[in-house]
Amino acid sequence: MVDSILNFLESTGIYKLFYEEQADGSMVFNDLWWQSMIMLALSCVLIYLAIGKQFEPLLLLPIAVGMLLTNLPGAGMFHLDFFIAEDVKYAQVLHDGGLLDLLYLGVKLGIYPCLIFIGIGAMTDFSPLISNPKSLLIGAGAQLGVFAAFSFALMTGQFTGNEAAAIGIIGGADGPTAILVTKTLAPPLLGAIAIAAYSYMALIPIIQPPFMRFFTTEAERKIRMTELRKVSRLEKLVFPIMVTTVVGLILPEALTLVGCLMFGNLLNVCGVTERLSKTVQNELMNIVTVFLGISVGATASAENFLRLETLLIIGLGLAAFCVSTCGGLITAKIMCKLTGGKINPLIGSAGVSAVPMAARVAQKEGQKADPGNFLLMHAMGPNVAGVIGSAVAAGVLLSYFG
Amino acid sequence: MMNLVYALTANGNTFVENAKEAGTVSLLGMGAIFAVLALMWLVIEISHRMIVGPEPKKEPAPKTEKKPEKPAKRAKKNVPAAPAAPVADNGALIAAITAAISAAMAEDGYTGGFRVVSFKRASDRRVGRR
Repeated sequence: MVDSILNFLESTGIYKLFYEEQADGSMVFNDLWWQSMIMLALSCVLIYLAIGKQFEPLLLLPIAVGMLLTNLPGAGMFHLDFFIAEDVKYAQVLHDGGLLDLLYLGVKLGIYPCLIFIGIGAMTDFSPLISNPKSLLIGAGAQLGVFAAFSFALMTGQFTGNEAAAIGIIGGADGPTAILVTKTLAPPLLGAIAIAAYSYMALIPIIQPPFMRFFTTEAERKIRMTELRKVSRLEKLVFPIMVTTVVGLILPEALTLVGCLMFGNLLNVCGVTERLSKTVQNELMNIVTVFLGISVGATASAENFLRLETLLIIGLGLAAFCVSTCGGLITAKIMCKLTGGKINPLIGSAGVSAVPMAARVAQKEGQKADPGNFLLMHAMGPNVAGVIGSAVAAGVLLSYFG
Repeated sequence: MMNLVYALTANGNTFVENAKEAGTVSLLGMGAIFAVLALMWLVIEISHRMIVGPEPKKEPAPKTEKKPEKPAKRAKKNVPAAPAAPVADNGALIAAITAAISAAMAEDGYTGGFRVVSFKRASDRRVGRR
């Protein structure tokens, strides 16, 4: 009877919080028990931010719950050590793995980010970009933060080239892209990078406006842009095929993301696959978002997350976002000068790919200067160009370091 | 200072090696991104030209607006120019009304100038009554 009670007590999470099992089966006191407590508190803060403050709740809530589950001792739902090795033993994952290990396979194999990109493609209207293709250059300029953060990270000497590349991609302001690059180049950093990327995307309305006001004059903010031309159905049909072909021929590493994005878009614009388009926009997207969020959150275990590197990643991620915003604004400002004032430089900030939040911020700042100015559709061009730009940046980094 | 620059960092490279790699990858990366997206711009423009045709030159003002101006010109000898209206349609309307009044007065043998001070829109019931 006493043995049964002792066995039960030893199997509880509270016991496993303070005692950890060694390879020989003996139990020793866990000095780092407080780290798990910090992680549990942090996951509760993220849950509060997702529900109470509505910061990207669709992703932050699954991430926070994944973090909570992985840090509760004894559950054995996730084992990051299964996936860090060069050659992952999938038989071991299937045999000994917990639920989150199995769900994490979708991240490890790069399935979820691509499925999400199909959904994003189906939800995105590329007409503003097709009618004003110059905005592609703004999307390119806004990738400056990727390489600035990469350079900072590398020059700190704390990160390898692969890790620095994974940190840099936070500047692309695109969650699935950041996850795909990180799972390939630096799997142990996945939790910190995903959380940093999604947190900063939620904070775009706070991060961007000071830079927008700094880099533009009052007169520039008041520039009214001419109405965008109508885009024919044939142009919309040709666009995804053309982009897929161009990217595939020049940068095959970027084709995984761009191809999926354009496939989703083709489902939407072709007009004969409405059911598929609706499915990828809603059901598929929602299911994958849950799986992706919870399995990414699971990687944020105490020993993996509570490190000096995590603080550096969060700082470098913020720098990446800021430099990307500045890069977009500077590119748009140059284009404004070259076109004789036909482009409002505020739309440059939308070159970071957080769709449609960044475009909304441009619209809001434009209306602060001139309440009758409507920049939203003009800002959507650089915004969707940023999605393509960050996928291309990911392709460059993967081809160099992958 | 020089020692710091050439000392090995935690990633096993010296600061100079890290800086070189950072510069190379950044230049290569930004160059590749601009090249790919600029090429896309070019291809979109070409496909637009092929699908829609060349950009039409700015069309002259629509004929419907010009037509009413002719009678107004005829009446110019007698009538001062119709006041500019804020909206094009109203301008055409005023020109047409002025021209009609001028023609009616010319039929009566009046050749002097006149000025339209105001005009009222008649209700439907009154239209056609004299």
